[in-house]
Amino acid sequence: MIDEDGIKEEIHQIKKTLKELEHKVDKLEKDVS
Amino acid sequence: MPEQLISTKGELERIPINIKGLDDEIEGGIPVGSNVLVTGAAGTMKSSLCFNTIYNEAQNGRNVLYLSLEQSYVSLLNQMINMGYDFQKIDVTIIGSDPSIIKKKIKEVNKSKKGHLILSDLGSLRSAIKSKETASDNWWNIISKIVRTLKTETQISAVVMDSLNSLYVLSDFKQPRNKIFHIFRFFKELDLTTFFIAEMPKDGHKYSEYEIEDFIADAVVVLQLVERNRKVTREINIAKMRSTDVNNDVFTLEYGKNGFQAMYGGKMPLL
Repeated sequence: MIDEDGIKEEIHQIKKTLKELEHKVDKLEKDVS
Repeated sequence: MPEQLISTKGELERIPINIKGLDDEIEGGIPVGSNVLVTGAAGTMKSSLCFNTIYNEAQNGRNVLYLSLEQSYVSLLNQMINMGYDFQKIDVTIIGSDPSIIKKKIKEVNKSKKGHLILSDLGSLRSAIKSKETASDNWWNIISKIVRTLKTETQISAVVMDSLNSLYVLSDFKQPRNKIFHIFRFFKELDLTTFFIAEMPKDGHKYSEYEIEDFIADAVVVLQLVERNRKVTREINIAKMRSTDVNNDVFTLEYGKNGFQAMYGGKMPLL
């Protein structure tokens, strides 16, 4: 049996965190301008 | 666990390398707790050979770890399935580096009665991060935490580090020779049998990047592609194995339906 859940969950979390950070950066850039 | 003195010859516990014809030439296997440098040019089957050894360990009911710093688990497992490895016989758990997820998976590993091959796919994590990676000491810190946790919580017996060269690329070791010594000590002190995969130039003029790894390793397995009359054969020899009456001759290495096999007769003496 091959269990891929662990790596998939971590990659999902990384992508989610990166997206949230991008939104924060966008917001900060808008606020500054 | 510290290294222990033995009282008689033959007392050392060994891990079979699981190559037909070769284990008999090294007293049945590699002494448990050894640091093994597996070196060769591209295409010499370094990863497959190491995988073969730890797959056999997992088949015998032990937990083992494969650290992949570059190749994704999908690519690696597809390669192994294509070679005929049966993943119904062992359990495989793919992890990254997140401690909370690893802890959750450890519980499942410990419930299983079968040997577990735990594959830490740091290559896929690096792809997911996509940021401009700057070399740092962080990857070694991540790796050492994963190894220590799995040794403590799941009693892994063997580890493959694929590869040392990737670790060097990812890391900014200020004093690499000193750092390498400490990395090898780290695995030794955890009483793990560790296979360090090293890329070697095709001409084979050295065994490893910093030319210190082969001196501090307990064993050195050399893989080569040799061309004769436009035919290419794979060859293997054990250049060094501490505490072992080893046959250092060069063997032809073949992979077939019965797995890896080392044979005499691969080298023509007059060439």
